[in-house]
Amino acid sequence: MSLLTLDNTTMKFGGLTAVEEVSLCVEEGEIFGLIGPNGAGKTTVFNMITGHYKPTNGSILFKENEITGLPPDRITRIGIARTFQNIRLFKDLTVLENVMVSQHHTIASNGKAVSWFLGLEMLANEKSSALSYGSQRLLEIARAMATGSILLLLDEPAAGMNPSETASLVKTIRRIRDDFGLTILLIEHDMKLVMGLCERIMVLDHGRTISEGDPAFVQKDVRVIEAYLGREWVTVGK
Amino acid sequence: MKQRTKTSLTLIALPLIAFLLFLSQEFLNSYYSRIITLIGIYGIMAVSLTLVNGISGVFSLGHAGFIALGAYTSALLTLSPKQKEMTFLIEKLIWPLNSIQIPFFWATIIAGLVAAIFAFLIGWPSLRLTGDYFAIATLGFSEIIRIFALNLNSITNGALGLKALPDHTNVWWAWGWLLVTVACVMSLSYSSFGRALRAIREDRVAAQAMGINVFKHQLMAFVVGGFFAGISGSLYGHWLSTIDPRTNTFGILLTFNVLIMIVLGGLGSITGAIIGGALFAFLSEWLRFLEGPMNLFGFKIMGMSGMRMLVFSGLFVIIMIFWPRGLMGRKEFSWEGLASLFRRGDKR
Repeated sequence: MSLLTLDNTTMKFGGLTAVEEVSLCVEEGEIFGLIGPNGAGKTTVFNMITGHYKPTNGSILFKENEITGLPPDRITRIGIARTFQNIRLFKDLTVLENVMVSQHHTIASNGKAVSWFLGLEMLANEKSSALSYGSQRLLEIARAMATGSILLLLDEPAAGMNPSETASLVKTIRRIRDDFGLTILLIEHDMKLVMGLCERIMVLDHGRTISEGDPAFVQKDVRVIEAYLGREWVTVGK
Repeated sequence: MKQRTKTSLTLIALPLIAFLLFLSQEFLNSYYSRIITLIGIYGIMAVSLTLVNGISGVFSLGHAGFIALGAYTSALLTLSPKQKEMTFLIEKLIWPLNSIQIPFFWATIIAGLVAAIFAFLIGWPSLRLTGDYFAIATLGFSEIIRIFALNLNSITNGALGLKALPDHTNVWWAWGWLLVTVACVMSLSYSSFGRALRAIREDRVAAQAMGINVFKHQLMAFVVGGFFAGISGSLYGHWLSTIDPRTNTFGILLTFNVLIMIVLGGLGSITGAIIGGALFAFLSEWLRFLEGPMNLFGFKIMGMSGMRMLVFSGLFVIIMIFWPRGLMGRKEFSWEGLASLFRRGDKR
């Protein structure tokens, strides 16, 4: 049984088709990567799953229940939490308050435990806007985890991080899956991170799925190379 | 500082304030004690608007509407049937309002409830709007209330207004209700509900993604804000002892006055709202001397009405330049803050 299923979802904004007939299955406990060039529609897929957009066509199933078109707060309470590509913390609130906001409806999960786990407990009473960029990214993850969700959607978690921060992030994400038993769907441009972390990857280009499989398969896929580097590269490669 | 120390300090401070108020009643003339009462009333208005505009970040411009609703409701309940018969000259007051008279306390509570019900009815459709659109919708609402008050002869006595309201509002009622308002808004603001409200203010989309029902939370804050606005309206009406819909006492100007109070004190700070309300009440009375004739460097200046508002606006501009986030910013009064203020003074 797959945890999250997208069935032929399409998202149109007026005349522009951002996502076209994308189908996707995320199994419980896996780390799934969503990649593609800029403007491929990755974040739009996230926004459809989390209810920020209502898909024009197709349906989204979570634990085999239809969640298409539900409001974002309902979807979070059902068990899907997300982070944002451009950090959206509650700037005037402290680190601990940021984590506690998510606990508003789920007393079960422990915000303090989460911030301890991510190494943020020292900063608990700092304003979140005072944190370093890397810590702010971590806090976004902590906040999403504290909602008590079982599926975590990470939108470019490594953006703006230096290599050593990225390396520790990879470890952290793995531990989130192993220790907390969460399923993770992530968007990332850092190919080293994606290839090293994800068990399965889907590649989007111009709103369409162009490839899907394990990292080794995707890396060799001609259509992926073409999308990222252009047609010439494919012929040179041969 | 320990929690117990803070609690006991608060418990000492409250009777102290009450004692000072008592002294002011005994030794100051009625003009000053009326201003002190007004500070309490403005405090309630400002704190209730701070919950909506400052803490939840919804920009409401309809506060005067709720205040007017509260004033009319309680006035119609406290006036004696005989007085009502004499006041309602154009059309008779409808039954059962024409034959009842209830104590001031219950009239005030009902005033708050009526305002809260209207806040719910207004908030339900208009909180689907955001930002400026919501501000315009609430501004329109407060105008509608005023227009209704002017024309609904059989309930509001139309343009003649309500006169000779019993002057129930004294220092104790005003400051007692201020205490209730502050206690309610404080505990709301420090609960998980208040945290959610502030999260919505900071980032609406992220708050939704954290599982917060934005609409429900903002509606709740709006209704609570409306309730206390109704309470303040009841007190204000019985302080003025007249409700005149033709002047701007309960019109848009009042909304902007309350807005000035909370921006002056610091948008989002309850302490700031009270300070802003007190400053506004104090300054708008104290600056009255500007409107009388005076002798300036040998030149005789004739009194000009409106002069104090000019100076007041000037002061407001200066404060906004030097304290763009108001006097308190988003900070609240705390015993630690007060203690550190004294300690810093010692070092010098």
